[in-house]
Amino acid sequence: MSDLLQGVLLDEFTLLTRTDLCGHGRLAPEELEVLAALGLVTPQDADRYPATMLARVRRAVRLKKGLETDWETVALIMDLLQEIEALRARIRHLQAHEVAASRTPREPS
Amino acid sequence: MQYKDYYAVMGVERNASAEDIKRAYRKLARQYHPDVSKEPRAEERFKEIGEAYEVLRDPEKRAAYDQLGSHWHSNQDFTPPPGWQAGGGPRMHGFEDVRFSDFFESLFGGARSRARGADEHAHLTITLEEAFHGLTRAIRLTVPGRDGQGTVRTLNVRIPKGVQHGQQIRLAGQGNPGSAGAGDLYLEIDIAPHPLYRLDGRDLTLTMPVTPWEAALGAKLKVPTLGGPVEVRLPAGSQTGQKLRLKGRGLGGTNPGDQYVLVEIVNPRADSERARALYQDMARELAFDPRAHWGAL
Repeated sequence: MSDLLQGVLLDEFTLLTRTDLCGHGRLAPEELEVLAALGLVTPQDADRYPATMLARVRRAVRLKKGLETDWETVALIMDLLQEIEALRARIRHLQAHEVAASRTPREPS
Repeated sequence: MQYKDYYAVMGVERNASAEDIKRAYRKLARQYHPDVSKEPRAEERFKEIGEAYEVLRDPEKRAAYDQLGSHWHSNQDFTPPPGWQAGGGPRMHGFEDVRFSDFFESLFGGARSRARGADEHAHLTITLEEAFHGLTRAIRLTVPGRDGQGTVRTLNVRIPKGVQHGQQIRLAGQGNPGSAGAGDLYLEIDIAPHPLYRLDGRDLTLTMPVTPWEAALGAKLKVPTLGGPVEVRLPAGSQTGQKLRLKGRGLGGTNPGDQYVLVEIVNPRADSERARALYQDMARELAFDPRAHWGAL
């Protein structure tokens, strides 16, 4: 068994510098500027970004390379994917609610 | 190592034009890109497609690959011919941060000699209770080996309490090795659906069935939370759909979320003489019209 690994949780409370974000996201600084202009990445302040942005950057880079498309199309795809995920979560919730309602005892105990 | 039939992977003929190959790739990419696909094994399939495209899109690499001849079959044992010299050189298009197969490396090796190893991405499904308390989990990752067979690597990873669905944990240096250092492993957390709680970020929602008299008269009720049961005061006159907030009873972490208790009034059945008599008493005694806002019909 290996040693215990403690990774970095990429949440909104962990901040990354622009250099870190570009390095881990394998993105050129000028490309990060494009993503920011498209609203895909939002800085916390002048040089720091919430670590949640790293997952967005990595996804954007994967989509651009994998689908051989431009950043504008990537932004559109990511907006639509986000909406699909929200709708799927809503469907799961409604289905779970239906199941829970069907299990609720209707007889007084 | 095993031979890879890149033409079969792309679903094109050996004499396909560059335009045919590009079109086939774009179609397959839409189908298997792991960020958009729900196909099983999409990530693995997309890597195969990316590798095939990397070779077939590049005239020099494709010509070198074609030199091997057309008598090979997928998964047939393969060793590069003596004195093999690859065409195409180290030029990589869109996949420089992806680890390709040993078959590719043996034909076009050295492409990433100055590169950091590729990052890896894995999913880990945990329960809501595990997300609440935090956990240590042994994760088994399959690393492709030189013989074409995977070797299993086990990592013992600490998952912090309060982790949310979809959040990622970056494990530095646990990705694929490279001459400029190993890549990172990104572990994406999936929280399995829970029979009682609905999860929304750090907040939880629990539906609480109550009797009509508890809702009408008010009651003190025990409610489950992930941290243990708590007593909740249900105000008199509560209605279905109303929510009670239990502050800080959601998922923990730096900024713990809340638990919402959704009131749902459940009516007992009128399936006995006594029950019917009670409902008839209510109908007589209570001047109640829930459709009064419709006006006269």
